[in-house]
Amino acid sequence: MLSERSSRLEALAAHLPFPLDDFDAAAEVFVRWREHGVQADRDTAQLWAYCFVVWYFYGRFASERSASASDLDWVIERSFKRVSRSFEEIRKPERFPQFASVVCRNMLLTYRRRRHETVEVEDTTTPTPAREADGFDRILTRRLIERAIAALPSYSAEIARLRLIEEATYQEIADTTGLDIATTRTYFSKAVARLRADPDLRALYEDGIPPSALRGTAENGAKIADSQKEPRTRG
Amino acid sequence: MIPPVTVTDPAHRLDDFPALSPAERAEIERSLADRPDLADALDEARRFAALVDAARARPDPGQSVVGRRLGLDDLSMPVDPETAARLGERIDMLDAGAEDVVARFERLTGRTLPPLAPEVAPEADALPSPATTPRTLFDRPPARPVRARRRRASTWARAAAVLLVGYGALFLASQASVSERTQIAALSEVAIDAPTLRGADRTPDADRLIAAAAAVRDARRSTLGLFATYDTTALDAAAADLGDLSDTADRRTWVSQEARLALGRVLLYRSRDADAARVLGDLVEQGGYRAPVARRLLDAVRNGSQLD
Repeated sequence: MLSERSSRLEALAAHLPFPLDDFDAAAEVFVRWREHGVQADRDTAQLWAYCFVVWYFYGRFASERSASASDLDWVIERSFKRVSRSFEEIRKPERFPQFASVVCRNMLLTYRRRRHETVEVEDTTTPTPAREADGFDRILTRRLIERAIAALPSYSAEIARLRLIEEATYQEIADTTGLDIATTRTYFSKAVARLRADPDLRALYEDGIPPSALRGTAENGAKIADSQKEPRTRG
Repeated sequence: MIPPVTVTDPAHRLDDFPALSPAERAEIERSLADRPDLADALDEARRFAALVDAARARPDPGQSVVGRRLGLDDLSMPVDPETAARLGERIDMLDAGAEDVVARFERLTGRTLPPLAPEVAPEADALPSPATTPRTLFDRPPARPVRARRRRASTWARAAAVLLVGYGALFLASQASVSERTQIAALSEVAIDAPTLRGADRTPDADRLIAAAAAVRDARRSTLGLFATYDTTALDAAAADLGDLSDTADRRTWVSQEARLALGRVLLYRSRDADAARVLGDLVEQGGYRAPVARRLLDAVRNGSQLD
């Protein structure tokens, strides 16, 4: 049963003309606003960004036992302001969702640096695994990776999917595809080269996070934040 | 089984970086520590690996629970009930202490979100009674705006299709049930509209004809245009008026001819074939403009065995 206040989350999202997870629609409305300047499109994009920020941080903070409500207010307000301020400056409007995701991620890392705490997951004291500590939005990232893989040449798409998403070994891929291991490796290398260059994927990390940030967990987040008094986001 | 990493192929090892375990990645990082020429490539590999890690990560239960509250089933990965309840309490606690999400949005943007439009409940058992649920911005049933609308539209479309198909089937059955006598009598063709009569045509006899024709039309009974029949009492009364008009009106006038033709149709419908043959035969013999139609009907009467 939802509490009265939590039901406001629903009420908020209900004002969107499309589901919050429809990232393509969010990008489309933002692009349309940039091209035609219709205020209604700007309002919709702004509301989507706010809903996304709320969803991102409520979800994260639900798993961080020591985070407080005032912390939640702080990260949501600062992230949303940062996205809103950048509306006119985002260089690639078609990647508006990635931009919002990057802003949230940067803010999360900054927050963690400020807290100087070990991240806790769920109700245990288990440290957050490295792959979760990076702050990427899992849903958006997975969809973009799957889309990028699907756009690969057919000979390498399946290999990339098996290796990167299904975590299959080269031997397993070779058994599945009927190719030998050497060929499988070669195709995989080509696939990775293309995926690394994919602009939709690059937009998830090229705006503000230095590579050193990706080496570890919260400890590394502190290093990152030291070089970022504010999340540096560019379009 | 992952093939052993070979130090002689650093570029390939970096390609494989996102697919390796943390320990294997750490080994590669150590082995490349003295390779500043590969530092940028290593950073690039780390970035991409972080994305792959995020995509592979198990669904975050907090994200799932919040997603469900936002009406996003796609984001709401399965969470065991106990964890969901615990996270729900945690979210409620955070929410209670934080600024209201809508109020914050309105404060930060200077916009006021309009009240949500009341929704038409398509499924009565899916929602509580409207009397107990005021439809305000902050008191809305579980919201999946677009999908809900699509589902609602889809439900209505399916209902409309079912109705259409059902009506079509009934229409066909209705048509099939019409007897040949009814089809030939064609009482629906007994129609004379007053507005078409002007000047010298508008006589007392013409008015009587119009009234009698209207009585025939009004004797028709049907539901949604299906399985039409005629009220025999009303029809007989109309036939009496038409008979009286046929007897008194000048036989050369159009009123007389129309009255006799209508009377012949009614008598045919009422299975009074002998009377119908007399009236229609008279019209045929006269050779007026209604003679061809009367001839067709008369033929049908004479072949009366086919009518029943």
